[in-house]
Amino acid sequence: MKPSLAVRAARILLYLVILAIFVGPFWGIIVTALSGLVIKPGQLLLLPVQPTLANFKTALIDMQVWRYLLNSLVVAIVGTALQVAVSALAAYALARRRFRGAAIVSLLVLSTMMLPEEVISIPLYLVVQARFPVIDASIYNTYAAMILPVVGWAFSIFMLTEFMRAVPKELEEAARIDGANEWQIFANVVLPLVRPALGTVVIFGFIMIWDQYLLPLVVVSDKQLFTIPVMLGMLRVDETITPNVFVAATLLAMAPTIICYLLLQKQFNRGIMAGAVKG
Amino acid sequence: MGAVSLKGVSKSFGAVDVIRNVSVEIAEGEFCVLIGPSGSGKSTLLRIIAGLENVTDGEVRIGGRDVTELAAKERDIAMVFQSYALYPQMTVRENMSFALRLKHRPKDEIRRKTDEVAQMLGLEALLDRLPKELSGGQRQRVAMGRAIVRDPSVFLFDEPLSNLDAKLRTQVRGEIRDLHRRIGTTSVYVTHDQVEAMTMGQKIVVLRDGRVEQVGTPLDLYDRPDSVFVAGFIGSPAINMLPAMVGPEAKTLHTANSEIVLPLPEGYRLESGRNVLIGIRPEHLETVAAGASGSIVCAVDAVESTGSDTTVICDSPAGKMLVSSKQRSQARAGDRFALRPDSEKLLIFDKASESRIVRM
Repeated sequence: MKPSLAVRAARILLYLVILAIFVGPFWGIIVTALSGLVIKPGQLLLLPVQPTLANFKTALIDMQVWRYLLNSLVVAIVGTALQVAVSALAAYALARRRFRGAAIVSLLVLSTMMLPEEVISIPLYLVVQARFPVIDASIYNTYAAMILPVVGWAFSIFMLTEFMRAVPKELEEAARIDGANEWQIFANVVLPLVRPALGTVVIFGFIMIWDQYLLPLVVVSDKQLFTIPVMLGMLRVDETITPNVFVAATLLAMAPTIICYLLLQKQFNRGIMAGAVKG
Repeated sequence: MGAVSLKGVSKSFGAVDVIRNVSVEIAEGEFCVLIGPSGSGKSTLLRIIAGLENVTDGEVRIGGRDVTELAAKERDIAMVFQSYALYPQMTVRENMSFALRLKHRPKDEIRRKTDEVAQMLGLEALLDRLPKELSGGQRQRVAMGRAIVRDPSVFLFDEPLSNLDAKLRTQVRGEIRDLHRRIGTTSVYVTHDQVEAMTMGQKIVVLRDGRVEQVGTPLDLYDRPDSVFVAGFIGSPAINMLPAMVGPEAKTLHTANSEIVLPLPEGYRLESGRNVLIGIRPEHLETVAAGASGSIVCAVDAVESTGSDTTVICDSPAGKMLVSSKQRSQARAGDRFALRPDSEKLLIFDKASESRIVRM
């Protein structure tokens, strides 16, 4: 039976409300960033007024957002690469090798997901600023301080573990008979078969590292090393810049994650789907 | 090329003994079939030869070399898996050349060998395809190709035909046999299908509960099974087994309810009153006139015809019996007729030990 006109109208209205809730703020940011008219707190523009790209220029060059974007890119790219490498190797061991204490290792990895960032931030600070013996240096105030703590991430380890478990044992045995060693089985047989999952893990990992706020705030005090989320936090309370410049900086901060998603979207969706239907 | 020798091989998974003291000699160039029901340990034994399972006890030798402690890749063997285990992300050519690439062989040698084997198996047109773009039979051939390219001293096959349909199975069976004839590499082939075992094996090893039940040529096993188990496992339709007792003066055999009395063939020294099992192959029964001496009166239960062979399932006083013949049968369910076994071909087993009583 076809729904009545009233029902259809109500349904469309509901869609519009939902759309407004989700897209509204995003649209507001875009419009404000492109507007020359300085908005007042609480004001929301629906269309750009005095359209201009000057806000982006001010943010990028005058506010040196480019530097913080660069810092964020270095941390996110190196961090994601290391995170995926560590996760894939850990997942291979957990999924394909039987060893004493495997269950305990899984549990320890899992337990890292149960601690909120705020709880570990102080111990993490203590570890990061601790000086290494002999060389008498610490990684505090370096890129390494922001990268190393995010290299091991339980989510990506578990995601890849599940996918690697699904690779038939016979493939590994066939490769073993063909003369492959452990590394060759990992690199030539198992890893190519979990590519969709790798795509998903790269996207999630990149976004997770890009969005880190507390960690860089705790382990870095040199402003030159600040990442974009930390910088945005500071810009927000800076009364010398207009809200328009601030939202332009916010948009710039969002761009890399959106690009990352678009580049790996196909693999991401395949990864999500495969995870959903796997028994 | 290499002979395979298993000496006193045992394998336990925890408290479960899967292989118990198995000793088998497979000569160089021989095609040996390991057969047995599910759980008999045949696949485990193959995996032990492959080096995919360690032995708990015993020794494995390939080509005279003790390989018991060696890893799979050091044993110079190739294996065709039941699931084919083709690398899904690699093309047929990459699948076939994987082992050679791992060995860092020169590129032109890899190409030449892969092309040769592809031609031998009729895979030339498929070399650039992925496994998912192949039919079951083609995948099977690629799996064999991958094994052949390596030129190993032993081929191991783990139920390679069980995922194929009946027609293709017969065809590939022939192809494997031809291939063995051409290449002459020692082959160990695991199956639970006795037709495959009988048609392919030069030597058959029957396994039961992790033990070797009997080793022999296909016809050896068929004509002279050592035990009730082998007699029942080899042959299709299955052998008829009638519980009986040796009659007075040891000249007759009486079935349990004495309704069937068969003459005891010459050459058996059996004491009167001994409990035995009479094994009669379905093709060793002929129809005779009712009331003929040494005949068994039966009622037809069902008739199964494949066109070339007919099997009549009938009810006898000693239970269900199968009769097979090359002739078409007009019998219908309920028809009564008399059967007489070829007494020269009766197999007699001791009831207690279930082993065959040898005729003098």
